[in-house]
Amino acid sequence: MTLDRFAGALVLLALAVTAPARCQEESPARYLGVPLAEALGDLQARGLPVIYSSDLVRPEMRVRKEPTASSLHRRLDQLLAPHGLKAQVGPRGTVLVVLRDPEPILVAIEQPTPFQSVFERVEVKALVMTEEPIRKVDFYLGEELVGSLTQGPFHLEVAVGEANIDREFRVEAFGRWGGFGKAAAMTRRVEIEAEMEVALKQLFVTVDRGNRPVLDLGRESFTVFDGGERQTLVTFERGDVPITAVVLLDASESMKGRYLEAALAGSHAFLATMGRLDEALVMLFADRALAVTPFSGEAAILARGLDGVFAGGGTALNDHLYASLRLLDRTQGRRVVVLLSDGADVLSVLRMRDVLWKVRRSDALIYWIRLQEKMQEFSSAWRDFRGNRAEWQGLERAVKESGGEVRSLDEIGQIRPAFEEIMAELRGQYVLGYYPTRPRSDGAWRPVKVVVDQPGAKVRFRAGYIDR
Amino acid sequence: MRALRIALAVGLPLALLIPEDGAEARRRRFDKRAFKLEYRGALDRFARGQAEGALRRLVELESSVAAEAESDLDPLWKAKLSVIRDLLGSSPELLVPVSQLHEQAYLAYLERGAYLLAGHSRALTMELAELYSERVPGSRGDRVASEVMTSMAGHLHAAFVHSRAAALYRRAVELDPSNGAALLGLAAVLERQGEYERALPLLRNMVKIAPGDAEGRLRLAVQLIRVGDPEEAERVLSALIDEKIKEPRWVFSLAYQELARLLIDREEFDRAVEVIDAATRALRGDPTLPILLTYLSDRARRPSGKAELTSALREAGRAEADSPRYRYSQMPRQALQQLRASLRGECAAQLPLLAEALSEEPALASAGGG
Repeated sequence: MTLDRFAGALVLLALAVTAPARCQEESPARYLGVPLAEALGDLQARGLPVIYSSDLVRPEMRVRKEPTASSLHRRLDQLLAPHGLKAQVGPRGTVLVVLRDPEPILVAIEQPTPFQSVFERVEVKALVMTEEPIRKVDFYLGEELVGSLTQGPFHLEVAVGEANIDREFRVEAFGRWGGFGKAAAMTRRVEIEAEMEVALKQLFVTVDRGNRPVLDLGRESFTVFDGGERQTLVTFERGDVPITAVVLLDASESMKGRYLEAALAGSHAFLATMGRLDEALVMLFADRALAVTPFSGEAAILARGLDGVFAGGGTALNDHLYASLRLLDRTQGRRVVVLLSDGADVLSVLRMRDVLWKVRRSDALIYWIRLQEKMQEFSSAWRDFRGNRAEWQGLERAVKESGGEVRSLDEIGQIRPAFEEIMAELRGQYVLGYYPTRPRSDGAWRPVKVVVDQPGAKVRFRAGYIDR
Repeated sequence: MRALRIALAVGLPLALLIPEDGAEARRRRFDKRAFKLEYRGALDRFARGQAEGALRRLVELESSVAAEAESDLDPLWKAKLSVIRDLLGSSPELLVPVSQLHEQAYLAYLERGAYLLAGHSRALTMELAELYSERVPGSRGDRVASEVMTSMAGHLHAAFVHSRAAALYRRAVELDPSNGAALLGLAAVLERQGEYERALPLLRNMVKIAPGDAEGRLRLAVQLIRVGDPEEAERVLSALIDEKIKEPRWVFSLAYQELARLLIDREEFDRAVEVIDAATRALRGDPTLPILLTYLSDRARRPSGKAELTSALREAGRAEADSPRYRYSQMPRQALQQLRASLRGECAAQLPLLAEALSEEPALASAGGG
């Protein structure tokens, strides 16, 4: 390809965003507020062979939201969705307007959070995600219906009493087209031993030999050093500590098409293997968050929260990695961020050293599935070559310090196995607990070291923590 | 092997029957007289306000000339320049609409993937701009030529063809050192290449010429930080933040963000929280500010809610506009849009002149000359 052809191809990509310097300009059609039938008529006039019945597209129906898509088919979908209708391929290339099937409604309880202790009055905040209009949302405390709301925000103040007991909150959402969804959250009584628990340090340790996990070690095989001093293990488990994960997927322009599809398929595989007590939140990001699900243990609900997201924009990896770590603060169980990206940060306001500050104060493990082996040298609007290289190396360092791992892939077919291997690794991790012999709470970095008595075994663990 | 023998047996005699198709043959087939007549027809449509029809006719005409190398397009170049030079006797001002038609042809060829013709149209547009600056005396000639160059540079810049864009921006600045869009565009290309020291004087000039240009002031402040002058950068950013009307929003969001970054580097987290808190109130719905505010609150040991962060992240997903930091990484659009609007005005104003020149020209007699 000559330089001209190459330049031409790139310019073609940019045409969509470049205002033409014509002597005349034309304005796009606007539909908001016009009868739906009229909007469909306009699409027909523009060449889309739409067929609909006046029973479904009634005269009183008006366009509720301006469609934003450029293709006629996508515009039709956007026009129909708010009315419980959808487009379906008809005979001889026609497009039929039909009723949408009721779909599950995504519901999550954002407050109270699981394992939180609640007394007296608590505001229950339910997140209801659906395109379907909501008929009602019922709130239950145990088996008792404590309130019902018909429009958002679905926040309800509930009197729970002063007893120090476990409580179950349930929320059930009913859509006007027959959709249904529910969520539950258990709050816990205050444990008297809670003060002791605060000081317990947990280390998540991966042991392998020749890239094969070593899963049969006992407590006596491990020696832990904290600040250079040998520690006494008070708890020892393997694999069965619940996981709370953020699956952070890069959906920037370069991930468009089959890359994003493969990333989503891989994350679905990861979510499908979650255990009964595991929870995850999935975030798709580019230069801003494109979709964020609530924390949920239901893989199907998480998958649905990502419907209809299109890749585009630049990559603000640092900002969203920091946000992921922040969202994992004070969550239960093993905290994990699984990041998938085809490149490094380009646009974040936070630098990697800011994120590293957080990594050192978080217990979360970070896994980075990256779709390139080596960093491509590049200069960008926000950083020169040296700056971009520093960010890339900083991310590698953050992953290593967290006790996680970088997995470099050669091709997209390896994405799904990578997600599955990470879940398998988490299931095979040893969880070592100890009370530091000399806690200082001085805000200083305390290096940690784990040694196993297995010749040839490789051990991976968090490099240390900030003693707060 | 058998297939090869058949191919040799059938293919070679066939090749001998295929008519000669080299550059020489194509040159012989090019009917200059007919081409010039058709070209005048396209210009005439444009002059009569039929921009779409003129463009269609020009693209059809030029596409009908088979070309495999740039040199194959030499006859077109010569024929078109011959028509244009004949028309110029009337007034050099008619070069403005003609260059605009060719800029449009450039975009149309790119859309069709006809890169050879696109390159040809770009070169002709530049040639006409140079011709205009030669023929129109005084600052007007240089100013309008500089605008035509800048508009074309903008197309290349938008497509990340940075070195070519920089060359055109540079020529535009040479022609008219007060061309703000060219100064800003060239500075943006240089900063993308990590040439911060070279971008700085361009931005200082830009701010001197257009002190009200918020994007120019922001880019100046960012360069000042990069070359190690945070004090002046802070003054520029603070003055920008103090502006009452915060438009365009993305520029002001970044002014707050960059001021906060200066404070982060000095570990003044409480002040940084105040800056981003004020930004969040002034610019609701901005996708980056809530993350930065959460980080700063974390550093300043102030409470910040996870629910608020989650809700802000979801809100960002519903936003239609590009994020400010993404917007900054693209070419400076606003100044370019203003420049193109001005060019459209120039183009429209000179269309009657082009129409008049075309009507005066004897149709067939001179069409064959040149």
